Amino acid sequence: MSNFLTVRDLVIEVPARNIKILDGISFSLQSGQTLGLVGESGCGKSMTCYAVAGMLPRGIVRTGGSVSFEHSGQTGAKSEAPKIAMIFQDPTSSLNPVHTIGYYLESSLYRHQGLKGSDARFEALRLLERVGIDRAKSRLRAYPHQFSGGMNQRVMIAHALAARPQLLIADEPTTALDVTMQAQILHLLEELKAETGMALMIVSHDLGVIARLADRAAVMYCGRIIETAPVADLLQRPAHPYARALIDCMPSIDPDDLEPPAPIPGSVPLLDDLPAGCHFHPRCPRTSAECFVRFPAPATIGPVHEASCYHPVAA
Amino acid sequence: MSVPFLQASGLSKIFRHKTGLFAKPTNQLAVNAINLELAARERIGVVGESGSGKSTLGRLLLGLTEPTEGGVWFEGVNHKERQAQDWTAFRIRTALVQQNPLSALNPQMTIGQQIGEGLLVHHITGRAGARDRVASMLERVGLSSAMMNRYPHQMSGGQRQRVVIARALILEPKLVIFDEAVSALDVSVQAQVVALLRSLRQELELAYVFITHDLRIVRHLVDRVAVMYLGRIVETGDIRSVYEWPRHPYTRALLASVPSMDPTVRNIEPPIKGELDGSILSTGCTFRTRCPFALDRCVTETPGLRFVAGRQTACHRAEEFPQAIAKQGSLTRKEIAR
Amino acid sequence: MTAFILARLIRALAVLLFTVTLVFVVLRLSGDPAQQMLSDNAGPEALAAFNAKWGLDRSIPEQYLYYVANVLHGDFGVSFADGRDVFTVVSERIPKTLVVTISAFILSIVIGVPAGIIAAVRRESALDKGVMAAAVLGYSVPNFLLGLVFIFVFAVWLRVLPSSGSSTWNHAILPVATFALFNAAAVARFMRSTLIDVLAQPYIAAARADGIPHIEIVLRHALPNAAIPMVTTLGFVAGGLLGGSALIEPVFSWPGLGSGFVNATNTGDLPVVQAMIVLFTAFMVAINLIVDVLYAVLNPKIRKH
Repeated sequence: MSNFLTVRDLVIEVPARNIKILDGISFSLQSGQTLGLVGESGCGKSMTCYAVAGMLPRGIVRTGGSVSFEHSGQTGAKSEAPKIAMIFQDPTSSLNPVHTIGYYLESSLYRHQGLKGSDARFEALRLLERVGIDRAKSRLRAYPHQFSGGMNQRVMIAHALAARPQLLIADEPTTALDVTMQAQILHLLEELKAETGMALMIVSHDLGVIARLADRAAVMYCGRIIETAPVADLLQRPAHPYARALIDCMPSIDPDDLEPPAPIPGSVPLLDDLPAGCHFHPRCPRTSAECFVRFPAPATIGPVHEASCYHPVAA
Repeated sequence: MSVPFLQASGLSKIFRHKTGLFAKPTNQLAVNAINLELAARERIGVVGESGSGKSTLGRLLLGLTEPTEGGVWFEGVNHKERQAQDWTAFRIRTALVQQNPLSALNPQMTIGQQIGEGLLVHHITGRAGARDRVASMLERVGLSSAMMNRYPHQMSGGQRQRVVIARALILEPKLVIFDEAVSALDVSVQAQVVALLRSLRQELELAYVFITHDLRIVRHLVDRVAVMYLGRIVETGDIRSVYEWPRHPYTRALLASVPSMDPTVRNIEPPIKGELDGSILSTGCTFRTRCPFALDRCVTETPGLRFVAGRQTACHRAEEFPQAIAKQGSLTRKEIAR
Repeated sequence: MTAFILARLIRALAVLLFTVTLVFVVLRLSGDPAQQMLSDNAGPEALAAFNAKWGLDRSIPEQYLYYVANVLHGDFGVSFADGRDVFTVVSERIPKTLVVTISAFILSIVIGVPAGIIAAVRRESALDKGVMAAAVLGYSVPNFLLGLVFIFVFAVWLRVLPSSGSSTWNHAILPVATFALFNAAAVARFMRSTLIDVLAQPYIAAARADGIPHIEIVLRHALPNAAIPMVTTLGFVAGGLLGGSALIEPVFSWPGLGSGFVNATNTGDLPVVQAMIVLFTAFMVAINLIVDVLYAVLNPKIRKH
């Protein structure tokens, strides 16, 4: 199976402040598969999404590497640009407050499927029902502020579906939602994935969300990917000390899990003041001389499992 | 009989919203007849989702808002009867730590000034004494005392939250209310703050109420838990018992909704469908509109909290729930090779 | 929404009544009208006759009640200066002022809004900096000074436009330009900052992610949101135009409310001054009411509830 999306050595900078937000990241995604991007604030996971979607904010530029797609379009012919849709963290503020839900959906349907008038309205209703919104007819005339966060997230997903995307990028889609709503949205995404066969790129700091949705996961730290693995391997046999530490500091509801989450000493460095060599070395329990000098190249841990570390933890 | 440290009885709070000059005001029953007791040095978690009333409960407990019905007693004195000078003493003996450290800190003052302000305002020490106490408090919360002269924007989110905690604890309160205090922090920073709270609590003999929506983090911070839904406590008891064998459908659904780190747990039906419906029901259990186990009895009879298997739960069918909840994410996390 | 409008209307009337009362009180306190109108040599009988004629010898509360009753009838009394009915004196000046202020208002929007949009969309570019520099200049120079400069340049030096009076349309050009440029600068600045704020919102980033072309984002997604705070700003501009008429009209000898007000104040023509203040207030209150209603209409959060 060829790779739907290939990101190679991607470098993204803020020239005005001489900061590298992403410093040479590489990963691939196969069609119909789900990739999870894990990391804490400032690691660059959101910016990776924007780079893949081709919408870097002003003042931020790609200065190296590439983002390429290889796929068959809807007609079967290979084309340059696949359909990509994106959903965001805070659904209510990602929806324009002066546009009705109907306008939002129908304009997307027009843009992507050329539907107008009653055709568009019919399809908009169908999409709303598909994402689990009841009384869809009256919702079309309503405004985002009249709905809860969960409802608005469903609306955003419906809007994304209108584009019939081959890739859906979801940037922390459930972080701002209550946990019971989160379970509903995650389930909806699972169903839609199965139904449409679209690829999914999901960003989250919550390993539980990644465990549920992703086939493969990439862990990011300070603008670099430090480990990539099938999700079960990552959670059960993490090789990079940071990945391992991140998993250890996740709290759980398991009453038999008596250890409190283990803190990682120190704090995440700022991007304009990164330690030389491996950025994690000041906080790492497994360092040696070379860790301070050069950033480690990805070491093979398994057939599809890599970690950028000179001293990966053996399984 | 000793006086309970903190006690709430029949506590209710109704918010009236006026949507227009001549429109009928709508009532929101944020907190509905809550009874709660906390002993000195005891820790209780209040968990719930948005609309549960947990934050309102926190504010009622600290007397930051007045109840519509019922009362709050701290060390035997009802808030309504507290006199002006008592309030000052109360404020010194209690503290509030909220969610967003950036907005909780004044951007124009150094953190040293902000932490020490309470000491000066209440004439507990002079300037030199305050400086010393601030320095030692900073070390206590894991920050260097050299940071005293820094401004909030010069620090990271985790550091700022430590400053907020330092400020809350410098007056040596005996009761602290944490309202989503770690929710805005990164996971690794949360772990640091949790470790800090655990160590401080031993040393300072604190009692606290930890309000949060995060069922995972609260387990490491409290001994007892109260689960809230639409202004009512639906289940409360020792946190281990409640988590091991929840006896209320909402508690069960909440725990089942937490995403498990087990990658084989997938494609499961969401434990609760639908949205929160805040409209005030005239009779019966407030959860019945979303409960998969609701009976006719649940419509007519409001279940009160009653003792079942060592905890209190407000459900008519509490005894029927098995420990293992069918068709939901496992409550236990698979062993991860260490 | 009717409840909203009704509430605003009641508030507007209350403001009007309060102002009418305040005006009455302040002007009565500011000095003896008889002394101001008649010469210094006037004897006590002349003063007494004057007071009797204008009802100034009655008690203050009585005067107030008569005053309010008359105001409600549109009867503001008679001008001390020429004996004509105040209502006529004032209302014949209204069209002159309206012509100039409304034209200036429209012109300042036509110039200021696009300038502000361009500056916001091309932020930090030379175009933006140029527009903003011009705006700062236009905004800083006192508008009557601007008027004098225009007169000097266009009337005296180049001799292409008349400097005073109001007989032809040419006479209106300089006053309108003076009013407009000043306010266009303010409008441009506010439009720019409001639009920049809106463009920074997450829903705009989401629209960009949808691949919507930039022009459509600005026109269909951003501007409707920017319009909401802009309506309030434009309300200030409109109010400022009215107030500014007192400064600018005299410069051009434009016979509108502004110069009328200045004249009446200088000559102590109490009834005219009172009437003008009430009128100005009524205009301002009406503008505020329109702003409030427009705000509610444009903002779905208020419109729906």
